Amino acid sequence: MNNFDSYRRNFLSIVGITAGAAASVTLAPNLLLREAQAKPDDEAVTDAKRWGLLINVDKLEDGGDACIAACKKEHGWGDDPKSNQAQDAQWVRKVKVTEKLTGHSFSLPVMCQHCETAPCVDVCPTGASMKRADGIVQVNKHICIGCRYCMMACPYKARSFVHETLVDQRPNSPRGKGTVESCNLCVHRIDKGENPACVDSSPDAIVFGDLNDPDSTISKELEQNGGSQIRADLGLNTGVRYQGI
Amino acid sequence: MSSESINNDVSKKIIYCELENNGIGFWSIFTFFAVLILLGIGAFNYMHYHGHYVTGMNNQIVWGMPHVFAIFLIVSASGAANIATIGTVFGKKTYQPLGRLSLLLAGSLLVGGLIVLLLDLGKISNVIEMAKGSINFKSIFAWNMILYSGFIAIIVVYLWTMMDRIKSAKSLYRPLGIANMVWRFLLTMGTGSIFGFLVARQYYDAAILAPLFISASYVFGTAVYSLLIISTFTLTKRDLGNAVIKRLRRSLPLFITAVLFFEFVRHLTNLYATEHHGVESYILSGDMFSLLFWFGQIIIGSILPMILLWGPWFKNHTLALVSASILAIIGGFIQLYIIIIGGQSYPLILFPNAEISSLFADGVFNDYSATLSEYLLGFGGIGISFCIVMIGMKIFRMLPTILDELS
Amino acid sequence: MFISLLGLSACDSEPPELMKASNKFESDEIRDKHVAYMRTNHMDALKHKRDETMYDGIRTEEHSLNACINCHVPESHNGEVLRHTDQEHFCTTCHTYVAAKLDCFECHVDHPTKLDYELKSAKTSISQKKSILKNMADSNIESMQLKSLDKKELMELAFKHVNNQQSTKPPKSGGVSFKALQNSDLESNSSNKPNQTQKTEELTSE
Repeated sequence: MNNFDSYRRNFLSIVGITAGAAASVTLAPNLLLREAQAKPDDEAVTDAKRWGLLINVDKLEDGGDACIAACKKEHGWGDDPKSNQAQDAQWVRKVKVTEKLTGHSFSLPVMCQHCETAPCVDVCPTGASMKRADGIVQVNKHICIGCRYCMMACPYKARSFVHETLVDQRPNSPRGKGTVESCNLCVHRIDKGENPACVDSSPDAIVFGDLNDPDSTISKELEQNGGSQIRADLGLNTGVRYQGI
Repeated sequence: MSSESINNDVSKKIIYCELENNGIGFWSIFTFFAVLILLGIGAFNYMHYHGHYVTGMNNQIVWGMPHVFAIFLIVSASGAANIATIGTVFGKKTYQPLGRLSLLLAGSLLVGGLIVLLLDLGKISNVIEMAKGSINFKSIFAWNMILYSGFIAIIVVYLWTMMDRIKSAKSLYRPLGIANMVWRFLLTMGTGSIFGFLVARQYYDAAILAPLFISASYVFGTAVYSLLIISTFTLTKRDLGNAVIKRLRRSLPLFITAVLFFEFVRHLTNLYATEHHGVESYILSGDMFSLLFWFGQIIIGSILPMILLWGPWFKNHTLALVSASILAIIGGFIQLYIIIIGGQSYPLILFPNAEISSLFADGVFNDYSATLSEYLLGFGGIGISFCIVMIGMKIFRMLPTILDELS
Repeated sequence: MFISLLGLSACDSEPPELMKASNKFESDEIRDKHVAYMRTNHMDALKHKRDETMYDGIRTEEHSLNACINCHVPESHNGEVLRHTDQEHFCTTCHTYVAAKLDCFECHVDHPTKLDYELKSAKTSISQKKSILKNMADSNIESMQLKSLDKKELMELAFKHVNNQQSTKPPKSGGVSFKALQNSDLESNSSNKPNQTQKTEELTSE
């Protein structure tokens, strides 16, 4: 409660600098409309929402290079000095697909698909590989023992193992030797009401939103034009969907 | 003979005794295994200090040589306890005097394997979190932890019922033998299921891996146990006698047949399903893994031992059993290598009927070559197992002095 | 055993001198309370917070490891980045003294790192902070009669205000500059103690 009071006092003071009290009160309702997505910092996430991505491969002109670069910048992976190429972390990668019979070819970014029933969550002996109530699949590195069973189980090869000691991690994206990691849908940004970094890097091609809300942009788009899952045969009901594959 | 005990299970008197102090012989073998442990510790320190980048493992081949060693030791542990089961549950008198050593070997192999598995983890310090309650019971790993620790507990009590002369021990002897047998089935099934339940990989994801691992455990366990008793009896100048050799000679190839049967069914099923054609041709008619499969697992590990043991040429030859056991162990090791490494080497199929490529080794066969430290870690596990066996034989009355006239 | 006895005998001696935090508390009394609480409870507080953040996405400043680091570890020390492997590092000094393993920095960054977009807006937010802090003491909460506003609304009000003042419109950078402001204002409060008269010198020295 003390904290709450201190927040209140400080923020009210800020408001008090220029505007009068009455003016502030009238301002408030407009503001609420603008920032509808942000959840209060101290409120727990619930399963009312299920976050998802819709990637339109046709509109993604570079095949995903921009969003991969944005992800690297946000999370600081991809340049671990001692690991060789096969050992270096890869949260998202550009996969080129060429159909054998027709020769039809396209490129798409592949990362953690945030499955509803994730194989990595099932196999993890400690529960470090976890799905948050709002559908985000991530690794709780505090209890990850580094057994790599989740890497064996993931059908998308979305997980990487950190093979060496790291320094200068991003403050919002802790990474460390001996633990497994993967795309967490920029969970720290989502909790602040922002979009994942990849979405901001390619706003025309990637839509982020709540799959449980029938009125969200992503749900409407999916309802109208559909979206496929990679390896839909596994029935994992992924949170990441693609158009144009 | 420093001390003696009498086992009332068998109608005739069996005299068990500890290994006598054989001077140089005992201690030089013990030192050999102890050095293996030291090398293993060194390898662990090196890998743990630097991180896994010093190994051949990577994000494609996530389980490497240490896992081959560890799973071999764990699977053979289950099989090694089979001698005790046959003696207790099926009342085969020949095997009863050998039950104690069989259990000691089983426990030791399991401990050695588990230590290798543990020391390969990326963040061992977090294992303590599991003790604090962070356990996901949907994970086969978590089941296995219960199965492994339960197996060791059963072995300890079972050994007590074999070795103590008080009444309660005798009354528990048979129930524990049955419990041990059932538990072994579950344990090996659990180990096989680590791979059997992986939907992602083309070479796994088949429930038949569970019975395959069970039959493989009989082969590995019997082979390791045969080598152990033959070498111990020879080195301590005790008389092993022909009855046991005869039985082992008959059972080992039977177990090998069972493994071959399950392998045959598994590959046949896969060959029938179009989606598995790729991985089957990779393993059966590709480069390295096919060579390992046909020459290593099938010819060296299965056909040759069967010829040696079933053929009329080497009857009553201890040497035939020894060489067949060694070959079966090599074959078993190669079998696990193909399952573990080969299964990961084949790429994941993200888009059927399409060729895929990326900077992250999509759509390519992944290479793996184990580094020295991975081998040393694995051999360290073997060192641990046999140091425990040797210490156990030294301080407990594990083996009978003479076996010949029984059965 | 021997080592632990040595440790016991060392209990009587004074704990080591720790690096000064960059923000200051309003009074020594509040600071002492913070120190006393954190000395015994920081591990539990951090662990509790860690689980709240992992499972529930609660990312308040209170007991946030990043907030601790931002205040207790300088951005540079003698012209170099101060890492947890250095003895002067706030956490390391004490953890070495009591011989307790420090595991956080295997994964977490051990010194303050400004995100790129925070750096961009840092300058405006500092001047902003200064003017705000000057006015802070004069504000009279009760007279505003805004008690019914919840925290979210308050944040939005402040957010809007900062945007107006800066006349730089992009909502994201506005939000971030506000975030930066909130960081430095509330870090020192995170031990439950309100602080209205933070020294402006601390802020200008950035």
